[in-house]
Formats: sequence, structure tokens, C-alpha cells
Amino acid sequence: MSENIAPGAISGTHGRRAFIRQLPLQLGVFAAVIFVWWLAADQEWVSPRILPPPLGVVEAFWNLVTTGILIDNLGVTLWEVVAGFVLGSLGGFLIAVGAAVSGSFRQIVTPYMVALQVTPRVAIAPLLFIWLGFGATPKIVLAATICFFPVFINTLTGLLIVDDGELELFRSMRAKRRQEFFRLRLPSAMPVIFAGLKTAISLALIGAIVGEFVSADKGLGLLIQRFSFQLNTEAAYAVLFTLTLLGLVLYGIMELLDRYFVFWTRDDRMLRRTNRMKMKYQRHLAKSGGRRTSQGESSGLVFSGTGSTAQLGGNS
Amino acid sequence: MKKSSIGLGAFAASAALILSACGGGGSDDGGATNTDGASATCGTVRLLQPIPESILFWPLITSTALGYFEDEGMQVVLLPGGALPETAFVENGEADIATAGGPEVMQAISAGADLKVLYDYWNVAAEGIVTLSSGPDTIADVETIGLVTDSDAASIEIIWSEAGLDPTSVRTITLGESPAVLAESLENGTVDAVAGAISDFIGIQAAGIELKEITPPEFKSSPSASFIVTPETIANNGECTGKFLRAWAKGTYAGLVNAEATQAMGKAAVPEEWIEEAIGIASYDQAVPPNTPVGGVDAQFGVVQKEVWQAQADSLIAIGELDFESLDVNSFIDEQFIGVANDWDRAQVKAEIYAWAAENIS
Repeated sequence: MSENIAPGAISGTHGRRAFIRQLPLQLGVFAAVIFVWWLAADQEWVSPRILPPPLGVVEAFWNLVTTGILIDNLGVTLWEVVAGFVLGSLGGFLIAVGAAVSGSFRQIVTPYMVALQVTPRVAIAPLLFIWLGFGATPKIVLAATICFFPVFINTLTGLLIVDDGELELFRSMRAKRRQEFFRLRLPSAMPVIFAGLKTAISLALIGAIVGEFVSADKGLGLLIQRFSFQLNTEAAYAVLFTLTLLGLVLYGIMELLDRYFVFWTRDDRMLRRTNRMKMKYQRHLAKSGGRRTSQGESSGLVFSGTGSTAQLGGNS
Repeated sequence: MKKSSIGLGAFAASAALILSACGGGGSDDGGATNTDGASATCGTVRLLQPIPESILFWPLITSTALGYFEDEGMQVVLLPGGALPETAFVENGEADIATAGGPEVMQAISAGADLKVLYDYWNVAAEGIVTLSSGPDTIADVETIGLVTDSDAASIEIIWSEAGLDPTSVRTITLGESPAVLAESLENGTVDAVAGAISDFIGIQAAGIELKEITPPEFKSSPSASFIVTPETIANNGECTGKFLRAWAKGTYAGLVNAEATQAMGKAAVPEEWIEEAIGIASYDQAVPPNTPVGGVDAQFGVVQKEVWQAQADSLIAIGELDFESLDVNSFIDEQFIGVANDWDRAQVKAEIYAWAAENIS
């Protein structure tokens, strides 16, 4: 069955092996970067006011952790990022679905979506505070407006670009529009939607930090500002690296969700899922005394390798 | 393998949500609530100031710690304005009371805003011009000046004009807010001087650079932060406005008479400002002159310096920053609350902050 997997699909096992193979190289590159950084700071190639030594940053990070300052402010920023991401992504997804389903709706909303995207959000940030007041709300909305567009455009593109053959198959089988959407368009758009979501989560972080730069009483953006004003460069770098780490963790979570929900783009996950369904079918056969039932015949074992077709025959 | 990756994903997602839930509420209420359990006869007062809670604006910290807001039956919620226009938030009702500088207030009035100036809080200019200790002694010797923000250009124009110098004779470069860049620019000679605010200079000094202030005294005497409200607030909540100003004045005085206790309160309220203790202390020291009343620590707090305001208005009109032929500052200055703001016993406040210190500082 594995030969039916879409070409270019990524094998999780292969990916892990490749990662383990590359690990020493990656660690080496990381160590080299740290060494060059240390050397630049130690030899004062760059002013220590601008580039503090790595050990100083580690000490500052530890100090911020042990005093609870970092966790306290991290929680605030994380809330703004997650809430902004959920709001923006959901909005982008729903409007894109509307635009994909209705051509006239698409013609009406698309110029506004593009206009929103090309408007510099830094410029509208102060206005958001005037309109929405203080607190987390304007920062969440700012994060939402920034992460909205990639989800919107990717979802719209994914829903509109469908394989002609598969579409023809659905129509020849007299699939209803709802079935065409949920069984064909949405599954085939999922990889593109998740690509948009991964971009969006990084942008949500930027949005929240920009909002905190404008006005905040807590948050990692405010900490960076405070430490920069105090010329406490070590602490500012420590917060900056925390932000980077936060961005990586959030991206990693999206990557895991992508692997889970868009399983058909990775052959190992696809095989596991197929085997699971096969076992389920066999159990079902055993229970029914080996008789093939109409339900069993449509238990999802027939697929051509793409996510959309795999779902077509399934009883999910 | 599947279970482990799902488990990992679920764990990461849960951790993210739990962490966000733990800290998320912090800023959701719109700012730091600075008194708990108030009798709430005045309810919540939303105070907008240009910076987050800081030792630079210590009366909020001291009045909260000593319970002065609570005594007046109010809770104060801080709205950190940052670079936002304070006047707009007072006008649209987002803030009950705000601190704003003279030019901003008069520009808002010029644009049609109906605002009243009640109380001069920072009695000297927060902005100024500094050079290295070996740098030029007067602004006349400055050829190139670094600006922290573009808005400092207007101050430069006023300062140079008032000093009888041609504002176009000095070259300006906007350097941004990074103290590291400001310090480097001064040291490598890119600029002869820097025009900015006290908070910018604290950062440069923290780098171990000795600075010399060359701001002309006539500019330095301009109040840089005054409390503003709308006439509706005076009409509807005049009594509470007076009570707020009284608590503020008491906190200001407490901070002036006991530096050690004030710094300890600041450290407890804003620990991140005190990671480098020397910077926290320097910030307090920088905040002492502006917090001191014009006539000294025993003079009345909050008295609006009308003549300075008028001079500032005339200068702004002269350089075209205000759309007026002339502006009488009496039209927007309202000193009716100065009496109530100063209606308290200094000896008692002094005793209270010393009692706090005895109880809380080992």
C-alpha cells in the first residue's frame, strides 16, 4: 500500500533518522555560533553594550527565572499570542471558506483582506488602543490582524485548487456540494492551511510584542523595553532568547498538530492509520462471522493515496 | 510512536494553555490594580501615565503601599500610555485622569479638546540635552545633536529659538530610543549632544558614561507632567478628583522624605526595575528634582506654574505648533483642587513612612 502514497510525502521514520544523523553537525554549528559570539564579546569586536557575553546572558536568564519575573511576564505574552492566534486564524479560515464557496462574496471581501494586509500594523497599533482601550484586548486584536492573512490566503488557495480528476470523480458520483467540500476540498486544502497556520503562529507572536511595545504593564515586550532603557543588555538578550524559544515551541506545537491532522502527507503515519483501520475491519469481520457487510466494504480501505480520496470511501 | 507524539503534542499544548492561563489575567484588567479592598466610595480611578509602574513615578507606589488611595476610598488602576496620546484617552473617557506635558495638552486644546489642567506633577522638564562631561558647555557649541524621537525636534526648535540661536544651525539626527546607540553615538563623536528624556539618560549613565546637562534653565523649568481631566470629570467627580490628588501629594512627600523606604517599596512593586540595583537607585535620584515642589519639599504640591505655561504657549505659537493667535492659559488651568490636595499633616505622613520602613526593612 505504501507505493500508493503521494510522491514527495515525508517519512517520519526517515525524518527522525535524518535528524539523528544531522544532530552532531547541528550541535557543531550551534557551538561554533556560540564560540564566535563569545570571541566577539571577549575581544570587544562589538561593544559589550550591544553584544554581551553569552555567559552573562545565561546568568541574566537564570536570574529572571529564579526571581519569577520571566514566568510572570511570559504568561501574559503567551495569553496574548494564543488568543490572537485563535481569533485571527478562525476569522481567516471562516472568511476564506465563505470566499471559496461564494464567488461574489470572494469578490467583495478579497480587496478588504488585501488592504488589511498591506496596512502597516505598527501604524494602526496606537489606534487600536484608542478604540479598544488598554489591557490585553488591543494586543490580542493586533496579533489577530497580523496572523489573519496567511490563514485566509492559504485556506482560500487550498480550497480553490483541487485536482480536476478528483473533482470529476466526485461530480460523476453525484456528490452533494457539502460532501464535495468536506470530503474533497477541505482535506486537500489541509496541508496548505496548516502551512498558513504555522506562519500565523509566528506572526501572532510578533503582533503581541508590537502591542506590548506600544503600551503594556506586563509582558516580554515590556521587559525588553525596560532592560534596553536600563542598558541591561544581558537581561534584554535573555528575554529576546526566551521569545525565540517561545516562537519555536509554538511552531513545534503547530508542526505536531500538522503531523496529526494531515497524516496522509507522511507515509509512516499513513501506514499506521491504514493498519489500524485494517485491524478494525478484521475485528468487525470476526464479529460478524466473516460476512462482508456494506459498512465493511466502505470502511475506508479503498484509497488512491491522496488524503482526499482516502477519506472519500471512509466512514469517518 | 503515535501515542508518544500525540502525547508530546498534547503535553505541549496543555503546557502552553496552562502557562497562558496562569499569567494571562495579569494584564486583562487593563493594568495593575494598586489598591486592594478599598472602601470604594470613589470606586476605581483609571490613571494614565506615560510609563508603566516605575520608581520614576513613585507616588503611585508609595501611596499604594501606605494605603493613601484606600483611605480616600478609591482603587487606582494604572493605564500605561507609552507613546500613546494621553489627551485622547482622557477625552474619549478611557482614562479618568492622566499626566501629560504642556505641549501635548496645548496641542490637544488647539485641536478642539476640552481639558483642564489641575496639578503640576513633574515640576521640571523631563526632557533635556546632555553631552559627555568633556563635551560642549552650552548649546551654542553644539553642532550635531542626536534626537531620541522625532518629537524632540520641536523641543530643539523652542530651546534654540528661546536662546536666540538659529535652530537650523544645529544638525539633528534621530538615533532612536536604544541607550546603547545613544551612548555609542556620544562616545564615537557622531553627535555632540543628545536630546531626550530622563529615562533615556539613566540608560546612558548605567553604561558608566558621565553626562553633563546643558539644557538652558528657562527650558528646564517647564513642568513636564501635569494632571489633566475633562470638565465633566470635575462636574461629576470633583470630590474624588481632589481626594486622588491629596493621596498623590502625600505619596510624593513620603517619597521625598524617606528614600530608603521608597526604594524598598519600588523594589517590591516593580522587581524587574531593580535587577541592577544601581539603576533603580539612579532612577529614584533622577526622579527627585521633578517630584520636588518648586518652592522646595515644604512648599505646596501641585501648584500650576502659570507663567511657565504661558511662556511655553507663546513659544509654541511663535514656532507655529499651535493654531492660535494667542492663548490664555487661564482658560484651561483650574487650580480649585490645590487646597484639598495639600490638606494633610506632613508630620503624620513622615511618621507613617518611617513606621513602614521600621516594619518592612530589616
